[in-house]
Amino acid sequence: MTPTTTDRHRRRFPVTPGVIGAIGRQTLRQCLRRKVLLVLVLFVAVVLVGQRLIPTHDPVKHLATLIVLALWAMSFFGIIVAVFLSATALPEDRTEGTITTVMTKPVGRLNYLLGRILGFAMTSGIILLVMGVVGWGVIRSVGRWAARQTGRDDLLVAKRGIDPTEVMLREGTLPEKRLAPDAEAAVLRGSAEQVLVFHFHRGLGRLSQDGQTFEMTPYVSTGAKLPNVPGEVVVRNPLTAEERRFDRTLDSGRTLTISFPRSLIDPKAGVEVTVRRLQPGAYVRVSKGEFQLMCPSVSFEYAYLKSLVLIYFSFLLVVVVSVTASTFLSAWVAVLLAFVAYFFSVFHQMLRDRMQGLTGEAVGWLGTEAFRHVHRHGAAVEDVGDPWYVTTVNRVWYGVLWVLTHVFPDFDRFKAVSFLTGSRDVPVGVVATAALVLLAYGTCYLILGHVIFWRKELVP
Amino acid sequence: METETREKPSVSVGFDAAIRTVGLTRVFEGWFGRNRVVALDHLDLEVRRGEVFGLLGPNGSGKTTTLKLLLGLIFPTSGTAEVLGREPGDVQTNQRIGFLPEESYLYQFLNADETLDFYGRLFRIPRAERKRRIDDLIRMVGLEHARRRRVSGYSKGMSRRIGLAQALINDPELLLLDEPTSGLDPIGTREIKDLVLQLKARGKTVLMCSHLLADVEDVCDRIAILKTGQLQVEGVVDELLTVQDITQIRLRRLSGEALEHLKTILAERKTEVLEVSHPRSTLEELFLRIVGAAPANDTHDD
Repeated sequence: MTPTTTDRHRRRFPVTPGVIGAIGRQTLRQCLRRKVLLVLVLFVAVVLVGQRLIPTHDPVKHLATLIVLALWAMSFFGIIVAVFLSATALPEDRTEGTITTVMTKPVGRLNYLLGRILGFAMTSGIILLVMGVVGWGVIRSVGRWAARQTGRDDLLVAKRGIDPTEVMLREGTLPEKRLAPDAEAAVLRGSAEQVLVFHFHRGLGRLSQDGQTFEMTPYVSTGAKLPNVPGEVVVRNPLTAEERRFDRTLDSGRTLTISFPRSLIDPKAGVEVTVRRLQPGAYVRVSKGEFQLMCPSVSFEYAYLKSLVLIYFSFLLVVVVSVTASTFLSAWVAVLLAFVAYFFSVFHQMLRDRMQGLTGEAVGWLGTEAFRHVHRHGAAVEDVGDPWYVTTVNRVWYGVLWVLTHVFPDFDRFKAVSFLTGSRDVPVGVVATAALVLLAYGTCYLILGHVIFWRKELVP
Repeated sequence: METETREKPSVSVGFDAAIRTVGLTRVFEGWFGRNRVVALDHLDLEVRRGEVFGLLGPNGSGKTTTLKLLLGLIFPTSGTAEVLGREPGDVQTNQRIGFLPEESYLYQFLNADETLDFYGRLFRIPRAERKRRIDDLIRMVGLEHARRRRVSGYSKGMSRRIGLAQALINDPELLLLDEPTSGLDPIGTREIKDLVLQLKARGKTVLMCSHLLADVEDVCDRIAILKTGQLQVEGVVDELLTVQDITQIRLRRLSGEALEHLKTILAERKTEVLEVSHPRSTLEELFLRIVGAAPANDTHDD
């Protein structure tokens, strides 16, 4: 029989929506008949009991704690269910032999994987939807109580905060992005021009009462042993080059308040804020923590919905990771691996910091280490290089960390609790970034799963 | 006699082969080549379109391994196989075949209707057509009374029946049956055999693995016997079973006098009479006659 064009197309792109839909539907039915919806009872119990146990002397804190609890419980129960269902289904199909019946139908192995993922995605979606509605009801109810107690009607609103995608942090005059340990020491010791520039777009900061000035309060860190570093802050319009300078004493943990005319902010280019230390041997780090964006508030429900979307993204990623793991592992090992991948996000930032330390990019904690290293040898001492074996170990360790931080996705990107408890909107950029992470990691894991599965022998 | 052995492979280049294997070999081995087992050793086989072919052999002879290779569930160590002109496991091939595994591997949380509906969806059979086929198949395998009951509550015989129904949901051109009658009572066995003959009459090809020789003898046109993964014999059933050097005459109720006369004639012709007796019915025929005549109780919940 001569293969038709459709046949060839199907072999090259073996994705059949009807088949995927059928397997997805069957998977949903399988999950529901395994009584996974009982997890909703647990969720309701945790939220209601937890809500009772939260101290009520401060209604605002009570509400914030409830939001944390509700979102945490949604993530926790949802992830547990997603991992257990999706990591065990394929191994069970293999051990019980049902996969032999399915795979002798015109299914195709990629369709099988996609169908399974679709089914688990639908199951997780239903569970999250119900939990979300219940959680919203409880939060709204407690929100009304807190409003009555405090006389404030703005407790459940979401103000737009800083969108990380709209803030471009760049290092001003640092000679190189990646520095060897000795060069890092040289920079910290030698240059008085270490500059960190924040490049802000839109209206950041607090608008004064008269509407003419902005107030910014960047958080400044100078290292534990160097308090009160003399420094200056330069606020500059990037287009007109109009600027204002402010002499400030920089100290760790102390916010730095700068007021400047509104005219320094260009509607499109934003404003550049440069914090510069003036004392050799010191360093300065500015974080973007304390800014408020002067935008109108949006409804709490809108932000809540976006945080649910983020949680759902994390479920989807966990499902793809678990299904991939289950293509080559037994059920329980796949469950374990999926949980490791999820809980690995706890260590993600720590490992990334460590990587920066190894390459000399670090500021903050690792910068402090470098700083101490320099000062042990005196402020004007030459560079002290590491011996070759230390460099080799560092390179190997860097490679290991790179693999770990790239193989496992950072699930912290899918968390929006801090936005909601801070009465801030969840920025669309955060959701978009999470969607991209999901897409990139999901695709990679799916390809990996398919490569393993498409030539796997399917025997009970 | 159409008997062939490994030394005389029977693979032809005809265009009417539904299944063709050439030197199909499968070796199972553990890590570092330990526990090496040759499950199938250079199997050359051809199943023609429209015939019922029986693959016989004792346990561990390689029958199920052959089926798994033909279905693309496992892959050959060497050699090739073709099913309906394509390589095993091809999605387009699977569209045209039906498979009943040795155990009816079915989702236990589905009932009979849902099971057949699921497999029908995998073939993308339109809804109305799917519903009609499901009704027909459930009626055919005699599970109308249990169509809403979950498969987990089925007896082994009922599981085989629903397993057979799922294998027929797409009205396949080629049916692969692995021990189709195992777990069935004689009535169920008879029904399966009748069904195979019906399918043959409709031009379908059936490959049947079994170690129940009577089942194979009743329905198969040709058979092959495997032993320790090697093809021992292949040929037409009637020719293989015919004993050429013995002649049998069947007569209706011969009197004693006539029998003695016949013996005298045969003695004059120097022909040795080996046995003179009345033929016996088979136990299966007796069972079917008695149970089939009994009042029809629910025989399906065995």
